[in-house]
Amino acid sequence: MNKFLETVACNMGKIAVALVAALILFPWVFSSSYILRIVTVCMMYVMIALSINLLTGFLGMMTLGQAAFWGIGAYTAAILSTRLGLGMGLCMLASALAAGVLSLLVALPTMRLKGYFLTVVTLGFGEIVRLIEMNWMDLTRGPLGIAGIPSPNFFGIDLSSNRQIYYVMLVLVILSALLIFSVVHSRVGLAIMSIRDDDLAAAAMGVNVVKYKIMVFILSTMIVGVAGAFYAHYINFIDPSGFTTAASTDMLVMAIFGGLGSIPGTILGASILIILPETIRALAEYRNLVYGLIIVILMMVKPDGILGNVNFQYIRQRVQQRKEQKGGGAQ
Amino acid sequence: MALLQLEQVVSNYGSINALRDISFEVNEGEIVTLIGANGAGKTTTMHTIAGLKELNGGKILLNGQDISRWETQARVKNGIVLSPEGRQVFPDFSVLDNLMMGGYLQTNETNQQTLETVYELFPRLKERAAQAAGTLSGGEQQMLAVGRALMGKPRLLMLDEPSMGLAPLIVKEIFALIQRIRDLGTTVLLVEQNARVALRISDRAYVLETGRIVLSGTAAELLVSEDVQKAYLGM
Repeated sequence: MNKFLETVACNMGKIAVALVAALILFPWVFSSSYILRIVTVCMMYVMIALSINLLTGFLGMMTLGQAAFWGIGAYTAAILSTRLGLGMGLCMLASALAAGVLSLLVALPTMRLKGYFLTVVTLGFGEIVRLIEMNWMDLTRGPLGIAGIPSPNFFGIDLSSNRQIYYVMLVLVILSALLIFSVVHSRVGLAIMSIRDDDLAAAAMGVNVVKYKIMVFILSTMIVGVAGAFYAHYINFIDPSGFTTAASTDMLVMAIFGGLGSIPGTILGASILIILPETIRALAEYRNLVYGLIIVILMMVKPDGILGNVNFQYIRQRVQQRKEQKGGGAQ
Repeated sequence: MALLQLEQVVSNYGSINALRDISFEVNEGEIVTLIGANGAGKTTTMHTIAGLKELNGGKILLNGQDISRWETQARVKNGIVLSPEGRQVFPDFSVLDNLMMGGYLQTNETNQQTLETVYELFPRLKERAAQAAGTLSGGEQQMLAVGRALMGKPRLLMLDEPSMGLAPLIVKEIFALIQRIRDLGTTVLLVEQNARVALRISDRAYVLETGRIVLSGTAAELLVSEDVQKAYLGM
């Protein structure tokens, strides 16, 4: 197992490139719209789970309101595109902005709180957002939902075929993975993780704890806001029933299942939890039971998630160090 | 002029007074120890100096400049660095990343230089650079905590209970290193329950009791003082 992890760690770059190449070629190999749809949805959930992992896995703040920000993104895009005729690119920007501004409003009074207090706040915020979506008829059309949202397009270019939508999502997920990767592997990323491990010690080193918490919260919700905008354009119809606390919980489960604090883990976890239920569709009503069992079993066998606690960077450094020592011994 | 001076510092947790009118000073090049029982206010004093706990009265002066309202970052930048109680190293970080966090406010170049000094003081940290800090032994973690604080280029290094939970032999080693750090030009403010060991390497000491300073003097004086012997040295 260790050997396997070491091999993976040393070839992480190659694996990432191979994965992206495979995903680019994928729609030319499989043209079934059903399969393309699953992979597209899967990539969207990877993007969402990555945003949660940034907040929960790297900063250590559990959120139960991510679906609310997803919904804010979706509604922003739906309203702007159906009423003002804005294209998808502008809608995504607006969605990111809307989610970001609202998360700042949540963050300012609450980011001084620690641990579970924020979780409760996000839970409450999620309910408020859902109630607004249900009841502000003029803006959201309430339970009727918003129909006729234009399919993905980019500055006038229509991107509504299954294959084109797939590539839109692929670009989005790659961009968000790169963004989160570069944040986490920077000096700021070290500060963020130090807050998770011990906020007092982090503050003693001169890290501005509250500032970083607010920044990460905003970044995380902006990413999920863009995913929401994509969802609205993709599905063409949204109503409040999709953006519930149950959806937030599902998203959180994906991040935990894959391993908090691990980007490869999140990608793996979200993919498994989206694709697996599809492959056992034949089991009909037992599907949710199997889904539940998988989660329970994994949590019993590996409570940290699939790749939680596996730091590929450190494994690489250790391999490097061992090589150097061996090299030194031979001379 | 004293490097650090506290003037009638008051600090409260809600309605509870943790510090009542604390005044003391630390001169350049000294090792000064605060001794006292649990709950006397030693850690609160450290946190208040570091800016992690707000000040509810009085003044803190650094080289005569009032820093009472400064943010923690500004204090760290100006050389007041705290190594918190209980070896709070970041367990999932490698040893090197822990050290780099200590130099968070320094430039990369400075960090490379300071790293050499820290590795010289603690050669074991260099051997274990790529290891997760949580897997180090207690003594090594304490060395890492001190090394991490040194990465912040302190003029005043504050160590909160560096002997906590360590075997006597390791404690001796740590305290010898603290002396070396002072000899290299860093002023040290120490909080210790292990009064005897701390007093042996200190120049001066203050005794805290329920948020007040009840006794002060040179370390040699306090070591032979009857009150101190009874209360803190168990004689």
